[in-house]
Amino acid sequence: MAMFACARPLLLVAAFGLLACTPRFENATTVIDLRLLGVKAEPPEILIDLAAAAAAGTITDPLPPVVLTPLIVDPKGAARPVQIRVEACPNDPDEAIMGGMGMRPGMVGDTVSDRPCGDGAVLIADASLPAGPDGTVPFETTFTPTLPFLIEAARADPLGVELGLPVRITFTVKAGDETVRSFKRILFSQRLSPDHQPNQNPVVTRFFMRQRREDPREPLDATMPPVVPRGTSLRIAVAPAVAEAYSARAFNATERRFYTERVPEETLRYSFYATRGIFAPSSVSNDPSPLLTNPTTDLETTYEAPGEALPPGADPHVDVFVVVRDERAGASFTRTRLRVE
Amino acid sequence: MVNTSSLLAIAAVACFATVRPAQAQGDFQQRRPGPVDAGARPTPTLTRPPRVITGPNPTYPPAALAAGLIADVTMQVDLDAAGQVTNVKVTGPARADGGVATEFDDAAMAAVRAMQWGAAEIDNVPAPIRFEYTLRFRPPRLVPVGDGGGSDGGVSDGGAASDALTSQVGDTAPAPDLAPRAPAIFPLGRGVLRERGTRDPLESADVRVIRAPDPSTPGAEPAELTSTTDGEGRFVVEGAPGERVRVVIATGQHEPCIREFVLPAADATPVELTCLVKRLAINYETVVEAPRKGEEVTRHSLSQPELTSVPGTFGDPLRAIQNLPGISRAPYGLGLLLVRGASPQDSGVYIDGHKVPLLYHFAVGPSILTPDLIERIDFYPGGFGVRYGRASAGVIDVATRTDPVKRFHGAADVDFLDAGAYLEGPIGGGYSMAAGARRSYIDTLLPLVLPEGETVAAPVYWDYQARISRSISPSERISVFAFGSRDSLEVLSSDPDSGSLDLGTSVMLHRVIGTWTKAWDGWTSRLSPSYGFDSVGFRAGTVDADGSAHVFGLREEVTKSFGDSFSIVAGLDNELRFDRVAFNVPLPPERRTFGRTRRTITDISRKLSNLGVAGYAEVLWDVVPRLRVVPGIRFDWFHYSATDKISVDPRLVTRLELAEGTFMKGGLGLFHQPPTPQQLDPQFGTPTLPLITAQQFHYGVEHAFSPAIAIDGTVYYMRKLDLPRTSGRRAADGGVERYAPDGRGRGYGFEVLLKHRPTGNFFGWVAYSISRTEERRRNTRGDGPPATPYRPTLFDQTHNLTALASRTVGDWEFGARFRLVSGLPQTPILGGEYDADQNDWDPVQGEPGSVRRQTFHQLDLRVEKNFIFEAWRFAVYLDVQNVYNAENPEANVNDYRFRQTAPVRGLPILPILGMRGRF
Repeated sequence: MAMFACARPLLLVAAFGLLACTPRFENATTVIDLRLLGVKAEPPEILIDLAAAAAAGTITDPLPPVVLTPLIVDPKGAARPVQIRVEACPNDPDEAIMGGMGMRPGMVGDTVSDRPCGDGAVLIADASLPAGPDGTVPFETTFTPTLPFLIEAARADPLGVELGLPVRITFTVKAGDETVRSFKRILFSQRLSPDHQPNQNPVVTRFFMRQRREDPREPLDATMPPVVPRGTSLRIAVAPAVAEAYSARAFNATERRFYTERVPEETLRYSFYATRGIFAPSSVSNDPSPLLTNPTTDLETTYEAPGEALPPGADPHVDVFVVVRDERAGASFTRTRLRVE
Repeated sequence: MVNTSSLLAIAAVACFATVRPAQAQGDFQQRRPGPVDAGARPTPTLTRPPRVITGPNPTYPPAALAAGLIADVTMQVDLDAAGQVTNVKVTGPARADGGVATEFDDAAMAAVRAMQWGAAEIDNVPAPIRFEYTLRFRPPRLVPVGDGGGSDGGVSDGGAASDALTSQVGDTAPAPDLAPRAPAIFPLGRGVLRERGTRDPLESADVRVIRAPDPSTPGAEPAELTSTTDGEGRFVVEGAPGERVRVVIATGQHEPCIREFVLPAADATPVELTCLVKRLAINYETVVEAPRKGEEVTRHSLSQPELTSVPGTFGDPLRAIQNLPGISRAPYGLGLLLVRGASPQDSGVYIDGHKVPLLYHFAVGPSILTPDLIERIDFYPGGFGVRYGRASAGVIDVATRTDPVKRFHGAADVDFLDAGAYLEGPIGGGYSMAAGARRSYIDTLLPLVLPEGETVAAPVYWDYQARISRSISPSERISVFAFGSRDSLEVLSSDPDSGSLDLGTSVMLHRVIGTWTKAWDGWTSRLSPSYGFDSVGFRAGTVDADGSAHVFGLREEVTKSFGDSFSIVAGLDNELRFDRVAFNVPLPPERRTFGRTRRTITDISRKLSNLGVAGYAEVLWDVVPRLRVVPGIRFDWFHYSATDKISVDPRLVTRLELAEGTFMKGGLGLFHQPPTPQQLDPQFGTPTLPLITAQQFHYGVEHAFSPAIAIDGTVYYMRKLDLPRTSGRRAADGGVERYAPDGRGRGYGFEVLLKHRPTGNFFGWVAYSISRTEERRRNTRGDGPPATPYRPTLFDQTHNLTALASRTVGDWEFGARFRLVSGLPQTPILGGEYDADQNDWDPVQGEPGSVRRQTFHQLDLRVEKNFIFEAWRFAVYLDVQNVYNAENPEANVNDYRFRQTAPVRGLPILPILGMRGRF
């Protein structure tokens, strides 16, 4: 329900634009209906030896299959059937360029589409299955890229061969009258050196918790969910995933040329979701905001338990999902539990 | 003789100096010398002064115009009971050099005879009357305060003034010529006449000394001796010793000063009188706006009191222009200059002919100039003359006051946002000075009402102005004007879970403008160099951006008339900027990433020398007496961001007088505007971008229903070519192209302004525009992003209606403004799609600009109460915006996945209480 919660003096708010009246929208960290929280692609990146391909006139390396695992949650679906349709299509640079007001400078990042596939996409899977007892939908599929598909993708994206060719994978998830459309990318990059390694999905292995910032952190064991009294909070932290160093092709606008850039550490972001209660902040990262003068990077967020009581006999457990993403379409997700009483 | 409409400018300030009864008689009481009341017997009262119905439409003597001469011609005018002019004679000879005073006199008397008058009424009965009337002739560029724009003007229609005029009036027969008694006249009284509230001496007031009838001669009539006050307001009372006299001193703009006393003996000390008279609410001194020069199709001018009394503007002159047709409404009342749906950067803002980067303080803050310094604001919604360039939409030119002042005046203003002070006066040697300053204090007040621990984002602004001017001769003047402003915003917050935010931003400008104006042998010249310093700054955490510029300007404009129907104007418009930019900003990596990525803090430094050189010329040619053709051309050379570009802008304006007071006008022209420096930058822009070209076509009609009421309607069509648009394609050199000139624009519409000029105690106007401004993308090379159809621009507003009025009743002033404006274009959001790599929900958008926000409507009211004391005046005003608290949503906010939408309301009811003192 969109309602204004304006307790501030409206006069001052309006006159100086200092405070905003924030409508009371649903919180993004609370999973209350059908959601797709993340997609893991294994592998997330495939390297192509362009030199060998040029010599042979075709791509000689075998194109590996990519296993796609979405994190689909339907907490209140009561095991209703969930339809999942998966499609693939090339990157369309015009979609990003045509967005907005068309007034910004065309940067390299503006050539990556931010839309799902449209008509003409290649069907990967079309399935229907119910959510499991834990509310998640156990779905997995495999995408095997073909050479004609890649050639078509390269034609559609002139900068893709040089800078990396993203292939879009679209997920259309339906349950009842709810529909979620989502997309992610699989990256086909040129092999820059013999020891060039493709991107690896980051993984969260452990959680920690503490009541207050001053307290020492303790491991959070999903098999023994900690109790969080209603209306209180719990600080939850993640053990850092491996942030890789990598090389990628980049554009030097001053010298007007492409070059290989060495990135010492990729950015990892951790997003938190719960089936009840909220997280604030909703995401943490090893890349603090440059706008802050003394930013914290302790990968810790605060879980705020709901204040209302559950109906008698209801399960007091709260499922917590953490999705970690890198900056090259690598991702994975982990689940833990809390008990709110 | 030169027809009025063909002149470069005439400023005629018409004033009734004295309303003189046709015949005076007194009922004197024997009293000691000194002020006494008027006679006990009820006296006839001037219940309605004469009023102007048509005119004046004077003709400037061509020789005088060519020589740049000015003159004030004061006349004695007799009207009969039907309002017909029965006699006109010059009482104050024209003060003109060069032996052309007679021509001024003749022109003035001819103008008065041609005027249509409404008869005066005495005791509510039409009656003959005699009064004084002054016409002031001013050539262009030497026009003092009150010179406006436009071709017509008005003279007040009387009204309340008559209530205060209670001098005795006899029968309604035509007034006889004055015949002062001859013998034994001594200067036995003296005094000074000043205005209450300002203590300004009142010059040229009519001083009538009414001598008692000789009791020994039954039926003898009282007689008058008349004189006028001098430049210091001084006068002398002459008469015979022991004689009873009544002294009536009147200006026509003030309550009369009436004193009765017995003159002392010849060897006694003369009677001393000091009269402080209150200015009448009615404004007899009426601005007759200067005839159009003709070099543009549409120009809207505002002058006092329109500048300071428009409701909803808090008395800010530069906000008053936002109520004119052609200016689109800015969201939240922000000080954006949106002309005909174009972006703010497409329009030019000038102060005294020199371009400035901003006109308003932050957010809803006031303009950067104090109202006391502003003489006139001209707004050209399009089709402006060749003296302006480097803009493709509209132009605003703010003219500040340059006339020398004779006495010190000051002002202080205090309201909810800020406080300011102003002082002007002579400083000797023929020099005058003016200085003002203002500072906001909302940063001090805001923490008192905000919850503790809240982020504080308080705008702080200040500005200053200073001017020194000297009138070397009636045809030569110099001045130096300096002004500046600074805005800053501080945001402080601390969150232990994320970090501290310490954000600061500031914008500052300084300008010094010199002006030397001279007229000789039919030439006029205006040379104006300027220097400015601009700076902007932003800092937050590890990010900071600083930019500064030294800006040098040089303008020179000469005009010359050849005969009655041909004039030329030529000028230079040069600007040299030395910009320095230093950014430490996080830029997205120039590689493809698919998730949020650490942004590298990039050090960007630029030192640029940007030069704009322009020359222009236009001819004002009266092909036939009723048809003026103004062809003009402007050459621009741009050396911007190390790129060179040249433009040639031919422009043509025609103006045909269909009938008295009715004009048909048309114009077409080319206008060029450079892309922004960032768009031309070799690293972040495309240096090869061409200039933005605008083709404008205008056609309109003006008609004056009366001197006070006129209507001005214009239809227009505009095309824009080569608008920079995002490219992102492979450039010819193999790199990534930032921009391509693929944008096209067009605008068309109709604007009308029905205006009641300030006359007496009322002014107001109704402005309406219906328009469409659109842009599209073309795929000029075939390999770029796909073409799109025309879509409305961000600020396109189909209907824009503004109606406002202000009326003065005694010491009270009431004003109201109502606005009804189409909502801004909006792109419908059909839902959301989840980017699993970015963890972002992206909106699924419908056709861009295919729907609009809710129609905007708002009523503003203003009430002002004036208190006039002997030496100063004080006013309290209440300006209430959005009286009935309309929601007027200005934006929408959505939930994270674009399923829920809520409007963000506009300004709520906003009362501002202010006080103002003047001396």
